[in-house]
Amino acid sequence: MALSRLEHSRLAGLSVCAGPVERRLEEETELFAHAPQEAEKLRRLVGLDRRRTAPPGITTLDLGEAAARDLLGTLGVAPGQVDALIFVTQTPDQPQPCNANLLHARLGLPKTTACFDVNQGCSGWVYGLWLAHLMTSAGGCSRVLLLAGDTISQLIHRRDRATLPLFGDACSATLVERDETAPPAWFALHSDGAGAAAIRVPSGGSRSPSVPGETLPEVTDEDGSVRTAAHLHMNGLEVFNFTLREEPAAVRELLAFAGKTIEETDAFVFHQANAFILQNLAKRLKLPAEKVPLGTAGRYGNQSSASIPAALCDELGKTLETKGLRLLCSGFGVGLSWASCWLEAGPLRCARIFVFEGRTQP
Amino acid sequence: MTIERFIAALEENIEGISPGTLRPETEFRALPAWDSLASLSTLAVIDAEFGVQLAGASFRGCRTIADLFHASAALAAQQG
Repeated sequence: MALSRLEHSRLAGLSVCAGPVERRLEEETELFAHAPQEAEKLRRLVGLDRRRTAPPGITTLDLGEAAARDLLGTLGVAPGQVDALIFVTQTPDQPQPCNANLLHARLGLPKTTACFDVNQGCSGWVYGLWLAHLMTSAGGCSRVLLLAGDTISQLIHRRDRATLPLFGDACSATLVERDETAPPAWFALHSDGAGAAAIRVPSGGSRSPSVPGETLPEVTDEDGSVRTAAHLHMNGLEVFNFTLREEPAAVRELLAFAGKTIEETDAFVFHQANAFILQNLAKRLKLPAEKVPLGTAGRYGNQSSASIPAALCDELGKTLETKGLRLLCSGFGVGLSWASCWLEAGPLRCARIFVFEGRTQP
Repeated sequence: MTIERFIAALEENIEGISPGTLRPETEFRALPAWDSLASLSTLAVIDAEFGVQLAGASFRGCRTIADLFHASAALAAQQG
């Protein structure tokens, strides 16, 4: 059982860089040409409105570099002070080497920095935060820079109307520091590989390699959405069921493990899949609505592993910068994988979200 | 949980379905207003009313509102 109580680690700051292109649901006329009222229903029921994407040519690494520079610059942390760099992503620039090493060069980090990627999606920020806490708590690191994000919109077929309106692109940067006076943080991590088919990109790995020059057939499903094997396949109903099956128990389990109550927690910051799923989750857990931020997906889209830090910055950033909060954060999705943590964060010197404006050289 | 209450919850939560539209024998997928969002809302109602998640295969096997009701009730009984 992956349950951890970790001491002497502190979340020092957050910065999130979102894709430069705003896509408004009302402008997706090609996608909903067959049924214009469907877009309006998505807005009312699921809470979709607009999202921010990265066009081809702008990658998770580019967004992550911008977020990392903003964070380290604001905190006044020099490259030589970063002992480890973790990059959580499922959309790296290339199969080899990993994004962490590519960012290591861009940021000018020293050869003494440990670098590696973690292949997780919507649960990934909590996974990365767990590793960063382990490495600062017991791994000899003073500072760990955690990047978490994806460009999922680039994996979706332009006529997949069930999935395309949901996703945005972003990458977050989080700094975790060794601090002897920091209060403990609690983590719980879970997996169910048997449910892997609910969210996947079937081809492009070594089981089903992409072949140069080969055109994959387009398949139209019973709801009229189009995909090839190289595109994201998401079974929305199964993912919804999975969330309501596993998340309430995971939240209750973590609260019990940490010895905290709903009253002793200021905010429950879930992976921002969409407002509908979070409303149902909050109802199931009987959480006060004001403690459950759920507007970020309607402004930025589902940002995969960047969505929890994005919600922290977008909806709670001012409070985190001025006084700090007792947080329960929980991510859930592709894997299937879900991970939760309870921690006290802030006051942070940086907790902001911004839009990518191009690469800046140091 | 009665089938009347289940039907009332569905009618309240599914867009485009007015009160008095559904009956136990209604084949819901044939309704003009039925779409993937209606399916999503149905699973949410089942979770809220029965405290269970009807798996995709079981959901696809349901033809009528009564099928949904009985499949959900059986699952709830099984999970105790």
